[in-house]
Amino acid sequence: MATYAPSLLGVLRLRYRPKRIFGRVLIYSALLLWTFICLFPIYWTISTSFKVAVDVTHGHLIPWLDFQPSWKGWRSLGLSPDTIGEISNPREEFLQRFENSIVASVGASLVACTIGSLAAYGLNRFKYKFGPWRNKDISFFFLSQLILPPVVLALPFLVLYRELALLDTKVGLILVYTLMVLPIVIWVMRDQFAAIPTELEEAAFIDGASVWGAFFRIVVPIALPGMVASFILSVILCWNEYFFASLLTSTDAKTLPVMVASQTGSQGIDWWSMAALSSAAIAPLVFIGIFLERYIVKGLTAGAVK
Amino acid sequence: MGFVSITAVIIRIIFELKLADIVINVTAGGPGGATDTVSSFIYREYRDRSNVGYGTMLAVFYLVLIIIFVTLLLNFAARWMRKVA
Repeated sequence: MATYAPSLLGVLRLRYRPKRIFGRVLIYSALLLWTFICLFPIYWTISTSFKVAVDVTHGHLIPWLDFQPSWKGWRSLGLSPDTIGEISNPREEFLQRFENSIVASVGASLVACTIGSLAAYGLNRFKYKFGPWRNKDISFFFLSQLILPPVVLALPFLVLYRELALLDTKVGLILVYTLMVLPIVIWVMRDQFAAIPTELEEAAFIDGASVWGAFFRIVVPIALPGMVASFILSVILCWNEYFFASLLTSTDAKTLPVMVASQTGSQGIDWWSMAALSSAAIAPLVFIGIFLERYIVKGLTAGAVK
Repeated sequence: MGFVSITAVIIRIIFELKLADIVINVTAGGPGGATDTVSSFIYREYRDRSNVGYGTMLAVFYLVLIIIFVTLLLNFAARWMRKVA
């Protein structure tokens, strides 16, 4: 877009400067509007966790002007400053669900990144033949798993897990989540490996490295940013997954989204405690987003668009 | 830019075809099934109403429909990209 052609075009561009400024203002206001739309629900959730019932139903939004913040929601969760030292059953439950979520998402992402990287590397560097199918068809087969709606698999999985006694276990969750994020990991990693020149491995082969040696010593360190990106991406996807978790877990391996959704009791919803729970549930992802956003973007864009 | 946008739109379409959890939690199918997506309808059919056979039949049929639709969509997008490029 920014072509700096000399003389005539430059003069024209200078003359049309007000238009450019106007366009820029338009773009930035659109971006600001979109930012507001994206961030407002999060602000709403966090502010609701500090409200009492009246403020929730009246839709008061601005703290100290509209409503007086209170620790009500966080107290019912056992996470407010005055209850943090005491024994609290909801907090115990929350921490257990938190641990389940972390184990399931990190475990599944680790497995998926390992298998997915190997698959992506193989698809990128070697030629496979399976009946009429070539590499391209095999990668499309992997990708097409994304199209499959989870409802189609839900009931077979329920029956299968009951037979295998994997129902309501973390191992079962890890296996399902691995299946769920594997296509995305393969997709991202394939672009990563495609961006690495083959000459690097050939040089390693000449120096006496085996295929595995070249892979682990040369390729993996270069592709590490992409691996981290796909790892974070799959952690986020697993963390937010509700469908399989609600279907396959009941007491032991229940994850955070299921716990949040099950707050809808018979006497209406405690909005403040539900909001506090949701805020605590999204907190790790917010930290990941803020601190590791650089890696995610770098890893995802490297090799994807050239 | 155009290619990236098309890819993004296709990915969003494919992902939204799977939408179920938000519907189940927010409206539970809504007033008389008005806000059901296909996925959430199937889920409620075999989870809440225990119509396992009907639910799985719907699921398989939905899968067939999605395969046809997505194949057409991908072919169309590929042809369009080739024409533009």
